[in-house]
Amino acid sequence: MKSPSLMSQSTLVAREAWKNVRAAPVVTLVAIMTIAVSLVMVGLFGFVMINGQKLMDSMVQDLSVTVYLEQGVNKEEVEEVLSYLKDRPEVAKPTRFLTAAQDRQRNLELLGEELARDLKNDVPGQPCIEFQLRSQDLRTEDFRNIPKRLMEFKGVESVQDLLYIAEDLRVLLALIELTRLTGFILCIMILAAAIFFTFSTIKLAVYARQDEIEVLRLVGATNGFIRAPFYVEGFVAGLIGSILAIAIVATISSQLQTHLSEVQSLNLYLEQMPQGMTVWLLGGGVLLGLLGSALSVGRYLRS
Amino acid sequence: MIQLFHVTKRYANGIEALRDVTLRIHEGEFIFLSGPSGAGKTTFIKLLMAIEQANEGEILVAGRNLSVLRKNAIPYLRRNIGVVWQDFKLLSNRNVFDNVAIALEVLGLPRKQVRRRVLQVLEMVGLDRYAKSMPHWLSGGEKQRVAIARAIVNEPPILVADEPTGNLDPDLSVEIMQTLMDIQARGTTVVVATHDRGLMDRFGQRVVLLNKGFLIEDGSPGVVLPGAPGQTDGRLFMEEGN
Repeated sequence: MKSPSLMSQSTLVAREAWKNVRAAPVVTLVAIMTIAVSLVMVGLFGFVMINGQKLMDSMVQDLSVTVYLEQGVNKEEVEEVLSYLKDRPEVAKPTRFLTAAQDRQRNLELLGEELARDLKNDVPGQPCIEFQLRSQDLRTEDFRNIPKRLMEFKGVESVQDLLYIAEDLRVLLALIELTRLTGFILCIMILAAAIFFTFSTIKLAVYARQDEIEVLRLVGATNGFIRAPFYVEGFVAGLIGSILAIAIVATISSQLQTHLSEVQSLNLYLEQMPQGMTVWLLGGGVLLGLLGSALSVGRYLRS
Repeated sequence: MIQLFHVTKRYANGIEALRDVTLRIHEGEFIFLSGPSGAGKTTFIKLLMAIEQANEGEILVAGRNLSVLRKNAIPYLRRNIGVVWQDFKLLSNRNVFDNVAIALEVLGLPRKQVRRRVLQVLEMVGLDRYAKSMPHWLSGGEKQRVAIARAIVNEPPILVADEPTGNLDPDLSVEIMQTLMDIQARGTTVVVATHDRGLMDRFGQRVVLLNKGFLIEDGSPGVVLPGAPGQTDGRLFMEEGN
């Protein structure tokens, strides 16, 4: 007899998996829905987190500090300030040094063509260093000392900061951190429940086919041969479940975006489903399906 | 082909189903494994199939020593043994063709080859026109012939049948037994567990008699089974009705 080809094996496994689905369509449907619902919850949480972080980042952008230097500041004095800032963990890299000419040029660009032409000779320029604070380092209050400490450097004329909003940002940051932690624990629980439910549903399919499995074992089927159709079924259930979940999360996020964009005062643009998240949900769904199948069939075959 | 050396099988509840059994079955031989209920016939078959493991002794089947056989090698052993059960073990959701094809599918053979071989075997057992029938449409004898077709479709060197005529009337029993004899004539080693003395007398093959786990007789029916041919031996088979 001819040896088995990979093609004929794959076709057979696919056919057997299809037979499983046809024999117990409700079981497959329940597995798909379990995976989809779990992933929707995880996906919505991810959506909230991504946008929470985005909101935080955009607010922290306002948390910039400008250090104005004296007109005659020398290179060493500038280096000293830059070196201090480089060592501060709260300072986002890179810091930006502008000479008086560069600052003037920037001011000209900011004024627009017409105004710039009128004020050509009156536009001021002053050497300065600009930097932003990192959102994650707002937990400590050390950043408050930075402007004071900068004023002690030779060549520093003034420090302009917007640190008064930092306190509000700290509260927001704490809330986001709390949500992240709670959500992470919830996600783990949801995924564990999803694995359990998928495991239980596929176990039903395994038990529904126990006569067939017994015959297969008696005629010399390997465990791999018996398992393969269930793996395919789990894979397909996971894939369909995750596609459903992606569609639902994308619809909800798009609806939310539409409604929020109508609220002018919020000036908030929500991130739609990022590609990375789509890949994670897709991979997560497939993994859930495969894991549920592997656990249930493995347990049955060991018994 | 099959050898047992001082084999003892003891179940977890302490019952010894086989006790110190030593036996040799040659290639191409046909034997009846007989004895009353609880004699150890089914345990004997389960040991050959590696469904159960012997507690003591050694079993050699088709060149494999079952006492050292690894778990993942069991499927490959079973591909050498076709098996027929009293309750047929046919899959009710598959038609006759698919029930037989399953034994070839596990080998991963191409569909075309499976089709050709299945139809050939169904023709051999006289069921080629029932290929698309569902098992519940068939009579007991037909079902058993489907089970035989499934057992021999991959051309195993050994065929084991556990009470294959247990659910059949006498005429059908003879028919099934004749099919098994035909299979043996093609070179397959056939082991049939039965307590039907009439069949043993009629077919006149070697009889191995078990009782309470012991192998008590081994020879031709006339020698092994006392009393007139065609009659059930009172001493040994009295427990049958219990």
